[in-house]
Amino acid sequence: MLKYIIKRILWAIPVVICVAVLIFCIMRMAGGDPARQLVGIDATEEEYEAMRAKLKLDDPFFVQLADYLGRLFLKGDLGTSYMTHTAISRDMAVRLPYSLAIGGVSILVATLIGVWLGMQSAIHAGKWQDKLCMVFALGGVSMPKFWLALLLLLLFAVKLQWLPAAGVGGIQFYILPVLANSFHGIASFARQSRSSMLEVIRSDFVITAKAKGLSFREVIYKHALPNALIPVVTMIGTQFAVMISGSIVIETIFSIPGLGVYLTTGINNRDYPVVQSVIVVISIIFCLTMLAIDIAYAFLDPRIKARYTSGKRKVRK
Amino acid sequence: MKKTVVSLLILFVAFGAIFAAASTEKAATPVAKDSLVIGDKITLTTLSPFVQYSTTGAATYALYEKLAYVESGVLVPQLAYEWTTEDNTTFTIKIYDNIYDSEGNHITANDVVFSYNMTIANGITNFVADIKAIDDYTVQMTLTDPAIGNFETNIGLVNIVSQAAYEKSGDGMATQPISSSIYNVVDFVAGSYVTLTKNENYWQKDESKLSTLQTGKYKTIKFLSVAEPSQQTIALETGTIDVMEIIDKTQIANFTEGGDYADKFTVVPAIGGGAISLFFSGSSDIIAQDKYLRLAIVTAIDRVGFTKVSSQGVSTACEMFGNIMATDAVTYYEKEGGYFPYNVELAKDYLAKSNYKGETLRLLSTTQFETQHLVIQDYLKKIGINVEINAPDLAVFQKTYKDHTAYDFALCSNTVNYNSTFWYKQYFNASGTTRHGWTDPELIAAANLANQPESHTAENVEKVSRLLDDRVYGMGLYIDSKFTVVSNSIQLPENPAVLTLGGYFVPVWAY
Repeated sequence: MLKYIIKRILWAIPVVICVAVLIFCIMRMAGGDPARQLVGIDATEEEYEAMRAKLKLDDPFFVQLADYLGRLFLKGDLGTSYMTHTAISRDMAVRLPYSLAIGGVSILVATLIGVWLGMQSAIHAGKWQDKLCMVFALGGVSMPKFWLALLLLLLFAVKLQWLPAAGVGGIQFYILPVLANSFHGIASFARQSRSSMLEVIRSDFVITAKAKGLSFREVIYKHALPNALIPVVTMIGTQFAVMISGSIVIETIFSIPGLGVYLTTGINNRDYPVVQSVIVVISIIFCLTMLAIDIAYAFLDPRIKARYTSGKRKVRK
Repeated sequence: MKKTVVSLLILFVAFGAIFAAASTEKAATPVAKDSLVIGDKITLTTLSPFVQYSTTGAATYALYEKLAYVESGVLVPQLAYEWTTEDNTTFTIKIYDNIYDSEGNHITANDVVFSYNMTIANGITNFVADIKAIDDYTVQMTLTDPAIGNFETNIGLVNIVSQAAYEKSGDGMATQPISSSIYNVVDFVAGSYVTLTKNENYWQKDESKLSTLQTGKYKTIKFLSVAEPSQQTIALETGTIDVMEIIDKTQIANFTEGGDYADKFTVVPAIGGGAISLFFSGSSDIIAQDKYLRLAIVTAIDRVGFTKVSSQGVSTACEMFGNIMATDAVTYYEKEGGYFPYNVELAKDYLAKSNYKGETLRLLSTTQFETQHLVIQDYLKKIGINVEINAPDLAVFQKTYKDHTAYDFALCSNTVNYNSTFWYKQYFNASGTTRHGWTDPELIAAANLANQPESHTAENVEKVSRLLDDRVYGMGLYIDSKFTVVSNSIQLPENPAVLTLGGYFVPVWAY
């Protein structure tokens, strides 16, 4: 198992390097010019050229790329923002915890509620409970995040005045963002877990378990659920990455200083170092999440664990 | 399962009942406040004194002091108490000898020079050619251009800090600025908010010398980033913020007469700011040699209708090339039928006289003008002109805009202030070409003459205006009005001053 984890971590290195190179190229191809952004339209050509030289944008493409990769991977230096002149590592240290907290709690809420709904739906397939859950899931998948967020704000902040409308601080500031952020996930998890649960419930081993006289609870929670969770766990990985990097709407509406807003501002300003660093960090998080997901498979499915365990991995002839 | 469903239903009904009960309006209770929360659409990413204002927004004036700043068209002293010039190019500026920042660093002329050099090096302003310390409390500043309003407009853009404090901070004062301001930073979350508290040991003890920005009306001021338009209204309604500095136009109707919250809030308009204009490219093959086509375009656009559609009906259509509220605004249009009056039949006549043969004109715009460029396209379609819109994001727009061959005409936004000549200045330079590539020495000479303090006369300003009418290089469309919304629980002065700073508006009455 350990060997497998080390191997996966080593594999992540070329992935992250490729992502770094790719985003470096994409930003240069995106058009726009950070030097022009900084000096403004009215600046003289001399001032513009001086700014380009200061930002080293006049260096040959491959020199810039080598400089960037060298600083990033050999020195661990994420660079400095063109616009704010602040160290990106410092900015990320402030913003990443907000994104991780909101993304992490959102995925937890979405998984727990979504899987429970999907499970209930599958157990009562075709009945009104199933239909109710699926209508809810359909609504959740169809409802835009910003609209739900505003509805929640109107209810809990404006009408009831139970929760704050914007900003960061105590736990009460995160309830609405997490609710709005996880709603779509709840619906997706519900739909996914319903279909996989239905498949598992109809399989032979579950029928056997029922025939052996096991209780309903045992059949569902001990035998059916772990097997039905494998595709759900895969979804957790992808949804988590999306929730961390793609929660720009939630961050904007609730005035949360997360990575989404930081990345978008960086893109708008053509702040190359900011965009490159955020993407690289997100790719690292994504690699680690997917590794965690793969390890989680082993705990859910003994067959996979057996394959990972090198000592017991034998080829049968 | 049944129990669960029944429980959920009961919860749902209970929730609905609470919602219904809560929907009864709660009466606003005015409370004497010693703290103020200001919402700002700008995302506060750093507090550094030497960065673009797009990163510090309205908080800048509370965070830092300048030598002086313009309030209601008048230069108001802050750290400087006297400035003199003989040629409008070189200024001798004297600063107080008792300026100390919150850490006790003495601020002298050398710190002023340091602050200016840092600001210039970061590309924030280019109005100073040279600055040097004459003695501990005197600096000599030479401008790049003595144009009227240049000194006044730009001096308020430079934050002054102690060089020693800046270098000691380690992060360019990005998180913990040390300044001579009457407010100190106590809490800052990059991207979200900054909380300031009044400095009880403020250096200026003489109350008669305090400017609006130096009185410290509140014990604490918090600036909270609220970018999303609907959230701006919600934040005001819930009391999360007391003031929304430059509210999004889509939200103004909530606070003006007949709006849901009109009785709880006051809308404070800000004069000046941005102007939206249409400019023809001097390098365009189709446009450059065809004045009739340009005339057809400018007379085919109904500026009043355009302004209503584009700006939620709250901005002011241009009545001249510049701000009609400017102190040097021209007056002849009233007698002569108005500024490029809207006339579709006349536009069609002009088009018939032009060499236009149905080519597609390229209109350069940006994503921020998503309504405006469609309206223009529609107006021109009515007289038979085909328009293709190129609307990239602002970064690509700025690059494309410099290439006059890349468009036939462009929609752009520029800063306006109290002098219309300041507006002219943005479009012409001494090299003999306009910003959009027209070579016109006569117009440039007239604009430069009207821009000089000694020759800034009504006649000279009118001459530029008439030349612009004659050349039809472009047309001012509307002055982009901005509004600050203030809760009625806040005591507003009779004439609440809202300043423009680097394109942003600052409710200085609150500081």
